[in-house]
Amino acid sequence: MIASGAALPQANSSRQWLGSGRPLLSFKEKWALFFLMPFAAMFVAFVSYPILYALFLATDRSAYARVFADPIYARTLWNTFLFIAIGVMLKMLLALGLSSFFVLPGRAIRVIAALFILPWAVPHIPSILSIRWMLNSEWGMINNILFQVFGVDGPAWLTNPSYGMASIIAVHIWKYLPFWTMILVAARLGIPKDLYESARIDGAGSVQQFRYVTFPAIANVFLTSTMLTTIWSLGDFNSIYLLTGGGPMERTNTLATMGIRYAFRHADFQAGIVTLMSALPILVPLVIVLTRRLRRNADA
Amino acid sequence: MRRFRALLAIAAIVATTSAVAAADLTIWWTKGTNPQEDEALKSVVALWEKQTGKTAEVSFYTTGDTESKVVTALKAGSPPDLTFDFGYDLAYTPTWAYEGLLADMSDVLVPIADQFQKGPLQSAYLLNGKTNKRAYYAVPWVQMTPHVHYWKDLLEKAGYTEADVPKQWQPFFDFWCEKVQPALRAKGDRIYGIGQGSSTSSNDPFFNIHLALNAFGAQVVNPDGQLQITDPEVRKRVIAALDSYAKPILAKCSPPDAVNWNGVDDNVSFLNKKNVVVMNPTLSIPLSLQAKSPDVYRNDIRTVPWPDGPDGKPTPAMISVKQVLVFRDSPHIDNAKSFLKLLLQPENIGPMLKATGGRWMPVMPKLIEDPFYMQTDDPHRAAMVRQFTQAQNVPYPQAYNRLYAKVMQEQLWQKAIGRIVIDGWTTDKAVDELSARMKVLLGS
Amino acid sequence: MHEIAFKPLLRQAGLIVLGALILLWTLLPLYHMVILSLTPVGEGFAGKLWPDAPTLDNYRIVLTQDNYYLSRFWLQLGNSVLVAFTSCVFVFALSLTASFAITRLRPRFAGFASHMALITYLVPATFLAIPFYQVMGSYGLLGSRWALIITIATFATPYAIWVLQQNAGSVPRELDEAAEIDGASPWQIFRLVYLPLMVPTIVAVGAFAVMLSWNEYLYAFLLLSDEDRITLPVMLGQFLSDDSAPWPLLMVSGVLYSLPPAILYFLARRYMATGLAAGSVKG
Repeated sequence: MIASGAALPQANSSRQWLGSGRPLLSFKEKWALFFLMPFAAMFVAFVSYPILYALFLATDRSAYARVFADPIYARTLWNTFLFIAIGVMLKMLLALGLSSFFVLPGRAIRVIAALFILPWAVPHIPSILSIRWMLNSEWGMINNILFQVFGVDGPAWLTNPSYGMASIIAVHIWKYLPFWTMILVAARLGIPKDLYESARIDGAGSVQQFRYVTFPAIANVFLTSTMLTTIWSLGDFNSIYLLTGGGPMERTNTLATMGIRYAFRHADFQAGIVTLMSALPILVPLVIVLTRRLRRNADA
Repeated sequence: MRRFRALLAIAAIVATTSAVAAADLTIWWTKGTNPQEDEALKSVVALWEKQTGKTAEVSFYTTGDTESKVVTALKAGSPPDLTFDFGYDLAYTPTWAYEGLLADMSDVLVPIADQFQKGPLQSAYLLNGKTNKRAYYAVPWVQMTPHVHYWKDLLEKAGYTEADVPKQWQPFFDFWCEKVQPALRAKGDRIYGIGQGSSTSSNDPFFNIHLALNAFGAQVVNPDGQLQITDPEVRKRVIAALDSYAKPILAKCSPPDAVNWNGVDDNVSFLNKKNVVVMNPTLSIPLSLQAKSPDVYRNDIRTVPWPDGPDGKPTPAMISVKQVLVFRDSPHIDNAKSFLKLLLQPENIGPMLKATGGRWMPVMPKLIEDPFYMQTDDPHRAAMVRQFTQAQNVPYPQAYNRLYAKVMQEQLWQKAIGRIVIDGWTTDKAVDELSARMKVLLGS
Repeated sequence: MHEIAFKPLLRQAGLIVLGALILLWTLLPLYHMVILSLTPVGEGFAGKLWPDAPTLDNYRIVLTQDNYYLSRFWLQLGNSVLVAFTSCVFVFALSLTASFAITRLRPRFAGFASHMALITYLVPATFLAIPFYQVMGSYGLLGSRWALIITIATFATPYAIWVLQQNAGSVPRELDEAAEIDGASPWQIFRLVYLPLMVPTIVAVGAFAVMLSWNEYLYAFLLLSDEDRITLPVMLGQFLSDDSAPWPLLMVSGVLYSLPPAILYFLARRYMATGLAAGSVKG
């Protein structure tokens, strides 16, 4: 953002396009309006309208009673908490740890990095279905190997509620860890080398270098990434739906799959919206904070 | 500017073509278990197109998908013209009819009413709460009752013969868990005794649990439509039935994944010999092998009557009549009716049902009398016919109280089993929760 | 001396073990997908580490649509391509115009517009599925591929605007001004100055839109109905509830479906890395 034009005097650049008098919109602004029209039209038709519609659906008071009275709801909240608290945190910590591996020089590391990104690049449907098949407790590869090698029936990876949640979290991490690792790697590669140089001269070991050079330099990216992935993980539908379908007995739903289930299995759109809106107390503050952060960073 | 105009032109094209190239008849149908079933429907559709010169569009979905597609499309006000799924008659039709969401099919059914069996026809004669009148709000087209299948070859591998299989309720189920499974496992096969599904994402357990309830004489709703589950005697029987149903699961005699099976996972598991016994509402399991491995179909899989109830009496067959629905908001009700009139002609529906391999029973006496059903040497179809003709027939509780459909929608019975086998609740406590919710749903 | 020589060796061994673990974790599900695709249809349930008699016949079956479940494979793959390509065009058109207005014309409402785009970018798409379905119904678009195209465009455009906005800063404004003095209209500046300079960014944005579209399952399932109009993921999803569905063939389709984005990623990797780093997280 070095060559930003913000420093140029506004009048200078707009002189030619400025009409006589002081119209409501300047010449440039009229053009801007014209250029923004397609996006604005889309925004109104496909973002504002659906959001307003959702708010309208959420005015149905009886839907709240239906949702809160459902014994599955409390479980779903708890699952969502686990998914975020364990899934997201573990993922980001692993990403941070692995970024130390991937910033190392060497051809082998670059090859591993290229392969490591595959789970993110491969479409969700086939890869998650592959895992679902692999983890099937009856005919999956994992339990079959366990039976052949140890003669035991392996755990019901997908159909025991606890193992099910653990498998969901594992799949989520498998899928999204590469992306965030690469983001952190990119950030670390941007740290000036001389900072490490001087740290080394001061006698800092690798742990201290990480503590005093690396982490402060990428803390901002790390925090922003964590917030972003928290928001998006709240909306992760595929890792759950394609793996366990929310079962057994709806015990592995999160708010996202539960809301969709209400709406599209039980035709209760209101209850679906109310369920999803339970995430707003986390979602709204995060969106506000993030909007500010991202814009501030962009302007800086 | 030229490019922008091009963009606008594209937008205009989008707007015009997106008014969905509307066919004259949109059909959403649940996929058959074999391609022939779908082809059979398609050939009737083709005949209709030829006769009327109109176009029809058939979309096939898997069973859960049809349900959720239709449920939401209905909500959004854009239902198909015609649809079939296994779940409608018991989970949705009574409610939809009451809410006035279904189209009156009387002019299709009344002229040919004498061609139907009484029971199935009656099951489509439903109350509309808006008009407070009864009418034919659904078109009955086939009927089914749950069957019991087992692998004869596995039974023999375990060192038993067909004659060793007990005929009484609990001994029958215990036999597979306590004798057959250990014997097979001793030979190093990772096989379970019974595929006892209890998932909320399938309707099959609903059918099977009701068969068990019936065997134990637990009449949850009486013929007057009153909820009886709190009656001490009924409650005792409900608990006994659920205990019996949960027993194989708790004894690790059922595949662990069965608690989360969808509508076809039970078929998949059985067909791949992961369990020896399975209960299923149509003959779809053996039929999926009929063409590929006729020998296995005939000799290795057995379809047997349900074991006798604990009181020693034969367990009644529970019959549900499958329906084709047309909605009040369907755009082409007249075309749907004209198609149904064509479909229901015996010379069309007869061959169509035969093409399914006899997966289910017709609802028209004339078709049932066909040697294909009455004089068949097919072991599975013969067993099905015996179930329909020899056992006492009992309807599901929905016949007595339309609100019971919600019990199925919410899959309360499977949830109760879940409480017992997943959460470790006592059956007593699970039935408490079940009864409380049922009271709310049935408003009593 | 020994200790000094030993330490890097230990470190080296540790790295090798770590690398091996990473690869095992990363590749196991993909390996499983590939070996299942090579397993004869009847043996999909054996759960073997390596099939007894691997076969490429499954690939022939899928490519020639020689199976009932895959009788529309190419058509549905074509739908996926069509949706991905068309939504990409929409994303380009919408995001380039909007980002040009925001960054180059700088109207008073630029901040508002970019704010709205950013918020839309942050909201998880799943949360809008319910009203989206209703809204598409009220526009009469349910069942039409346009519904899915618009959906992808709606969710990819805000991100595209955001990334373009970031990178537009690197286009010197002097270029605009020179053109302006020569009497160029904003439209001409957009076409002749802005577009050419945004090409590298647009590659990243396009790749992102294509991948988003390629991945989309929930909206595709909800919005599309007819077998001839569904995209490949919806067809693959149907395998979940089909009892005689041949899973090895599903995995063949999965492998084939995974190839384009994997190739796309490796081709556009350089662009995407910068684009994504700039767009999603700017430090």
